Amino acid sequence: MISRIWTVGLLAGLALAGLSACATKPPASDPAALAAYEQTNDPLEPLNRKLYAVNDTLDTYFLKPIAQGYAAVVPHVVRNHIGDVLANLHTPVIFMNDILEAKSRRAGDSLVRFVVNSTVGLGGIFDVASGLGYPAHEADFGITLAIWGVKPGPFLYLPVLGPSDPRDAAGYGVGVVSDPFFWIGQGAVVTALDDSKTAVGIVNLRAELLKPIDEVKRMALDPYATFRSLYRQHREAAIQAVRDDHRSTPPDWYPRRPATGQ
Amino acid sequence: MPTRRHLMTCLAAAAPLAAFVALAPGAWADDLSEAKAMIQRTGDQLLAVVNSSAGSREKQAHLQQLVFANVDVDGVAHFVLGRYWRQATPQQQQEYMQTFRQLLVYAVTGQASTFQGASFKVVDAQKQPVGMVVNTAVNVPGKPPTNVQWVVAMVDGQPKIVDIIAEGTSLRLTERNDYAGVISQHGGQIQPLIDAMQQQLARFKSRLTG
Repeated sequence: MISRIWTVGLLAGLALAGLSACATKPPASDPAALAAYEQTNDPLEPLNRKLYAVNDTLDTYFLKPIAQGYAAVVPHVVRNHIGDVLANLHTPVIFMNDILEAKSRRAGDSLVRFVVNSTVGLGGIFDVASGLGYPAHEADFGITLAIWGVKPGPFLYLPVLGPSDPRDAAGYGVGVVSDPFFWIGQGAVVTALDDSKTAVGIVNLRAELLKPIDEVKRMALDPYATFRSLYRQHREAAIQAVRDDHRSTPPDWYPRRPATGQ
Repeated sequence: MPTRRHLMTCLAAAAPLAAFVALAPGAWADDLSEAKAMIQRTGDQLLAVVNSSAGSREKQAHLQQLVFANVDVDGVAHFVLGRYWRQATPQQQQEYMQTFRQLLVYAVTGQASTFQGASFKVVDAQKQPVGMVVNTAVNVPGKPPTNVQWVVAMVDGQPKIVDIIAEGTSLRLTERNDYAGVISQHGGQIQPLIDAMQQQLARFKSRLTG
């Protein structure tokens, strides 16, 4: 918990430092360049690129080797089940955001997922709910803010956390605090379990991304710009998926009132 | 009266356009089924090559043939360079095009291995603002099924792939942002981008022979 408070402090410090390192805005006499600059919306690009380089070095020499070792020892099937367990523990946060997004069918899906996977799925080891027609979906407070009409703001590359923007960074903070596990940190054992859950989650995710990230780096001429683009597009698609979910509130099996043929 | 003449010219020009729009729905339905058929065919051929026992050079040749036959390579290349296309000298445009064509083949070849053992199914096709979008479901063993969308445009009367959208991310848009990143990092110069592309191509070529 203390390390998280440190992270928040570090982020705030960097946000302030970032204000002094701005990209130069093209002059109004070059409308094409100006439009491109506004579309990229990355006024802190020089600082962001430095942070990307730092993260990339940390990843190359620290996280990636750990993930590679982990992937070599833990079989793929087991890694998938570990991912399922962690996803299940995270479902209450997804449920809360479904509610805040006012998407009751999504909230229902999350509730069914949590109940079914925690019981029949043996504590989330097996994702039984997906097979029953309740697949996982994305929800976090960044997406919720977007649904509420909050604009993403300029691109941010955060130390350790990676690509983000003010909306998603705020969403991340709320996400950490809204996780029930954040509040059960009483006693050394619980804290240790909680921290190892976080660590396993990070390594498991990185192992899953070994191939895709290598592939992006192999193909990209400017990996920073490529990751920025991928991040933005992915977030926009996740938000759009929530907006496009117009399923009616009563589920299909709910008995409907017969059509009145007076 | 220049303004009235202008108006008449506009109307005269608009008449055939209106006729075209009126005819369009029928034409679109035909185009959509053609696009679907093309994606089904290309996907089947792609998976056949990927899952065949041919050597890497032979696979590369097959994939190159598939890409050039079914992808609007020049259109994609134009889109990716975007506003910098007009800024490039004719020689740069030519160099860029040549390098881009070859790089695209290597990009497909590199991705192809991840579809080992995959199966794929055309779901449906719709007309969308970006063009005709063919939805497919791709199943790779051991991974959750993914939705891949193929954007198809009619080029010289033939359906051609202009973009691939996987999990909401567009390949050509990502590529455009990648290349624009290189150009803006070099003060708006195009030559450094072409140099970087050629270095990358040389690297891919040496890896294939090595």
